Amino acid sequence: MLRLFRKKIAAPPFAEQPAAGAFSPDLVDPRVMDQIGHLELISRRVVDGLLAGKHRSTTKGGCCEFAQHRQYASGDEIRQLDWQVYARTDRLYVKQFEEETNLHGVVALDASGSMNFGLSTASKLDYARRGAACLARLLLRQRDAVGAMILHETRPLFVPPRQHAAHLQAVLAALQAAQASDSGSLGAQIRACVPRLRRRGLFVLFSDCFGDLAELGQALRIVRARGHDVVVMHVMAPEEVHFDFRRFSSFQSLEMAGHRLHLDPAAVRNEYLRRIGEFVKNLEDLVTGLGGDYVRMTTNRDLTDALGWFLQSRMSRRPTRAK
Amino acid sequence: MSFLSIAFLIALPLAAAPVLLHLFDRRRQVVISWGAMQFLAEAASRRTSARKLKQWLLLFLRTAAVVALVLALARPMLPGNWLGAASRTETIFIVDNSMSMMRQAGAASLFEQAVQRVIDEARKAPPGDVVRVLLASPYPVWATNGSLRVGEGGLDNLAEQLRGLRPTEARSDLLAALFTAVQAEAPPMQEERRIVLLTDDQRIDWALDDHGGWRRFREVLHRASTPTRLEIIKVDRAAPDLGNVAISSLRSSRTVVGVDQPFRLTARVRNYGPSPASACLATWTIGQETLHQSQTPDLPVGAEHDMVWRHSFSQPGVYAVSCRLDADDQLAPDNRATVVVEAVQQTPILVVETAANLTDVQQDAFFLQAALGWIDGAPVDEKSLYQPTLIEPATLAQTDLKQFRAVVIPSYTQLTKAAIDRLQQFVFDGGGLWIALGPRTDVEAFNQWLFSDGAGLSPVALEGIVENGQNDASEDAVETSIDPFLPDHPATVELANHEQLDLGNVIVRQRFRFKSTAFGDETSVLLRLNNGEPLAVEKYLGRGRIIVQSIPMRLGWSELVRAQAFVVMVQDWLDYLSQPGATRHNLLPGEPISLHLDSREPAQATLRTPHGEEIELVSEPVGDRLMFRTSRTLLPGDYLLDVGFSGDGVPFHVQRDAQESQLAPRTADDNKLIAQLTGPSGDIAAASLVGVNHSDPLWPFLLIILIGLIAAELLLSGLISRERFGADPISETTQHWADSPNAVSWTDQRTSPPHAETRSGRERDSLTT
Repeated sequence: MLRLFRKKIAAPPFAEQPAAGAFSPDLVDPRVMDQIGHLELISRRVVDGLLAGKHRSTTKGGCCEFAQHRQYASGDEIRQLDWQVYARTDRLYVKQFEEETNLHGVVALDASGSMNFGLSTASKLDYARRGAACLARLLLRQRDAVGAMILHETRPLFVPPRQHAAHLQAVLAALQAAQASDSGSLGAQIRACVPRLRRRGLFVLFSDCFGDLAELGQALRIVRARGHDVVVMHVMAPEEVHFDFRRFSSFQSLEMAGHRLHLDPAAVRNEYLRRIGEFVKNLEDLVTGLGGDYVRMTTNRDLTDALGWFLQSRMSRRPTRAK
Repeated sequence: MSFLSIAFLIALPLAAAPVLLHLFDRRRQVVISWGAMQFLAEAASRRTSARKLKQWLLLFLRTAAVVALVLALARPMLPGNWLGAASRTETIFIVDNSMSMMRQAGAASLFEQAVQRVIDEARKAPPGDVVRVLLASPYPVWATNGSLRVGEGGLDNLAEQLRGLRPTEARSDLLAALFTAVQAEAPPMQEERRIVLLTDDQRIDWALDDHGGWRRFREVLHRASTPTRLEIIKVDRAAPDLGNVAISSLRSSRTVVGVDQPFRLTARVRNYGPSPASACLATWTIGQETLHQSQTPDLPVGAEHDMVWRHSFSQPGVYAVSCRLDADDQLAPDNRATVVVEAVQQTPILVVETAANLTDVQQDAFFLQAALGWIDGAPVDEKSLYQPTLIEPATLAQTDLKQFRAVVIPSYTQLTKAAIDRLQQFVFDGGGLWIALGPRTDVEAFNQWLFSDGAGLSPVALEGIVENGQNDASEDAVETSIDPFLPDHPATVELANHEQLDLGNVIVRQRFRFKSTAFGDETSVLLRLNNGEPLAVEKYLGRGRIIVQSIPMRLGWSELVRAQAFVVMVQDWLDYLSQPGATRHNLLPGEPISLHLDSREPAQATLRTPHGEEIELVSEPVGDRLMFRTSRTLLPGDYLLDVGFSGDGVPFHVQRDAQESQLAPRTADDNKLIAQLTGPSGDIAAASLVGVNHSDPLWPFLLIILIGLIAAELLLSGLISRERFGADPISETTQHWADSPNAVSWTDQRTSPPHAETRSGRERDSLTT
């Protein structure tokens, strides 16, 4: 008789989950770019670049903006002497100027199995993929070099940063090729890819960050220690935030095949929300503790809003020039 | 445990519905591919046993609620005293309030002793018991307003209600009272019924000849839903045996008399006592005025004596004439009897004269008018009661018959259809019709229009004219005469007085013979011939009566009109025919009081009963007149209808049953008879019938439990729901975004960049420093 109650249930009460990788071929959403195109992604840390750009360079030159005075030493060029200071103090000082350089930004996309989740909205991977593409396009538009990093346990992919416009296609291809599957340590994947970033720049991570938070923190510290500006785009699905399931459900893990939980969701909702809230808070504290930026976005929110707020906040906190 | 609606138990499997729904919900799982498995697994491992306990408790409450509802619908009954600590008894006191209970026994009457005994018995009852009182005469009627619960206030209320009770002059119907008590619906929560009958145990009250009724009572007693115990308390032990002389009947020779017309009142006195009664004084009164006194002789045991008083009224009106015996006996109420006589100025009679062109002596109505005291169209005596009006048959159809009490056709010839229809309506409304057949009667027309196959005015069809000795030669030697010995009919009681009247000497030489096959059930014979053939027959039609006489009221066919008895016959029969149209003032118990009004304006009247109760009556239209009518005449005694505009009230009298004067207690043979009728348990006085299984209703408690279960379920489900869905989810975005007043849509706020910032390490640094 109980077989009567074992009848298969049709579709889940949420919107159909899009197939993995079946995202729109046009990753760079024109509508999003139209909304955020006038903004600039400013690095809050000094970066190394060969070309003049919007970002502060570690190289001091004389062509742009005054940086500091330094006592003259033998070998310095005579044309760099500040004669006005010499006239007032009778000492020789050399004027130094900060040079502006271009940014080397890398968008890192988590392609673990959990990023494939999406019930009432698009999957987290698609959402993150579109966000990463838009940022890459933005960086290239402001003459910065951009690269891509697909964080996957077995099929990692790295596209080194380049500045020329044609490089966007390479970045987009890499992002489009990302397939969410398997589990793995996100921190280890980041640590494996970071040595390939030769110059200091911007490291933007799109991920749900599920997994060992300590390992992730260690990896981000390494990235930060190498002088990269760290931005964590924490992508979550609204179901993961609200957990408003009413009926008895069977939860099938997206990362571990065969791992399934049969439970009454409402019965564990409080505990789940407490734990995931604690996780989110720890992650936020971790990222901000490293001096990075933490941006939480849910896939039911407009991507324009998420990126717009982020870019706007970066611009409003644009670092002042040397005093 | 038993169930009154056991069919509802079919729905008992519905109790499994909550469990099945729970299992169904568990099995109908949705498979969700989930990413944040680490948090879910940790949360699932922390489910507490308390939460499981609440869920199982909720499931139990729902199941129990369904079970309680189904059981309540099935209306279970629990046997015995499962629901009550102390058994409660309903006591029904049946008080015999017949006339015999008016006997004095010491300072109080038997009825007063019975009432006091009821109060005493009620005081002995434990608190919580229920008491009701039923009166047995003249029919069972509850004397208390519902059931009174024993308690200080309840007993006072009972005593107050019982003190207002009075015995009646009627008999008690103890069998009907026992029926009523046994079949009375028991109050809730009463587990036993005790019926206490307080009576003087007169044999006449026990309805011993109603064998079927006693058998039915036995069945009803066994089918009673409450164990019933019967007790009989006799209250006649202290009554002194003084004998009993009573007026068994008081009759008037006429109930409607003319002014100054003498009539005869006859009071029959009987000695009902066990010893000879000595002479006593009889007083005749009208109202409060004593008009005549007479002496009764010494009466042996069972002897009767008729006392006659002739009287006349000088003024028209309705008079209640009473006769009272000054006898010192057991039962005083039966020493008095009353009859109501109406004195009228005149009674209008319509006479249809078919030979108006002949001389006076040859006219049909001559002898009739002479018998009524009218000669040449004028009364011989001014005090003549009857006022005849002569018309010809041709004018009958146009005459208003409502002003006449009776219509007489001394020698019927033939009437038109319209005249017959008018006569039919007249009789139907209460008028009297007297048809005498004569030599000019058309037999064919009579049978066709007046008999009309039994549907007409005549009760019989005519065969033809018969002459004396025509059919049987052997009867030639014997002349056909009238047989006067039919005293059973009220119209011929006086005519049967053969010693004073000469009706038996009247020779009938020629007559009409009735068809014997045409006699119906409603036909009765007033007079017969000495050969057995009917001479005058009667039919009831509507409220009126019709008399058809086979000889005319003239000379030629018989010497009847010359007989002395003819005067008595005419007056008695006209009086008899006029009665339905007149008001009946002397009634039997239950007969309605009907009083027609001359006024056509709606009016009100008050009827005062023998117990002093006043009943308001409203006139009701009957035809083109108004009438007061009521059937609340079950109590024997004097009634007075106060119409208001007529000055004094109109008296009515309901006769009592003379048998109630027969003071004879129930005998051992009577007890045996009742024992035979009621079955093996025999004497109902000793019967304690406890064979009926008593049970208490359980469903009220189940409904209360159901309400409690539903309330608990609502509370618990609300608590669980709050635990399940009460927690707030985490913010969908970074808290600074969410807190910003511009967080609705950045695209809409593009022109004014928000001040909110993404939380950054620099901000953190600034906060820490």
